Amino acid sequence: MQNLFLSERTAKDIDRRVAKILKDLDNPQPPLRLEDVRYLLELDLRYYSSANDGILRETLHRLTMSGKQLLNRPGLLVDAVKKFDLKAL
Amino acid sequence: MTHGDQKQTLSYTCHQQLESEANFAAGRIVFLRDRFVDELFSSSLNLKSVRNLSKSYGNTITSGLWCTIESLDIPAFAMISEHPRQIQIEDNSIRYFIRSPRFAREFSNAEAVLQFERLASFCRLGKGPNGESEFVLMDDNGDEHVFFIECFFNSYDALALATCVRVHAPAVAILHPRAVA
Repeated sequence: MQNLFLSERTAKDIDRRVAKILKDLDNPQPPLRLEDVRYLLELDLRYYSSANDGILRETLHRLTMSGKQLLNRPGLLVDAVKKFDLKAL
Repeated sequence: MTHGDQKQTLSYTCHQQLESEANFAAGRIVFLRDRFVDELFSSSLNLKSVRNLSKSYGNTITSGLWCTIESLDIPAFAMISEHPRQIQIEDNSIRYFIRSPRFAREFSNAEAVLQFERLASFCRLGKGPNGESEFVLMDDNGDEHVFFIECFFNSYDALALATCVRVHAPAVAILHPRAVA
């Protein structure tokens, strides 16, 4: 079987989506932990498979990520309160 | 349409296209986009460096080799096959014939089977590095190029890497006029 070559446009399109994943993983060191990638994709698959990268989409993504992470780990809120000393609130 | 569709709903060409896109995306993720090839090209390019670096990225040498060849801007190819000395050549002897973009463009007549036969001419039997050699390959314009090829057998696949090292300049003997007389 010979390798096929993707069109430049398709390759760039895929690469842009990969860049979003690696950026949200803080550009990790090798070897990449695939479970981290799967976790990110579970949180907001629509964002990582979308070519729409506008500010509104980016903000929505941040809100989705933080909301889902908070639901998965409510302890994060307690940590935040402790960290910023927000007891008075 | 998804990659898991049945053969009845997915044409062979479309299946290949989807597979290529999926492989490309997976390669870009696990090799951290350009980081792998940047590290690889900062040292000398050979099978050993591909093997070591692939391991540090937690990946197989096969996928590392694939990623390397597709990123090269010189004529080069890799072959993943059965051991060239152990078998008769059959249709499925060569699993993958991976060509660099320039090789595919400039050496469109280079057939995988011929390169496989070339491996058999210098490869030793057994596991590990199986040998290396140089050969001349003619491009589509009729120009000859010298390729360096090396082969490694990891006990289930033979991995070969061939890179173009220089344009072939045929040796021409010039006789001194007195010698002719």
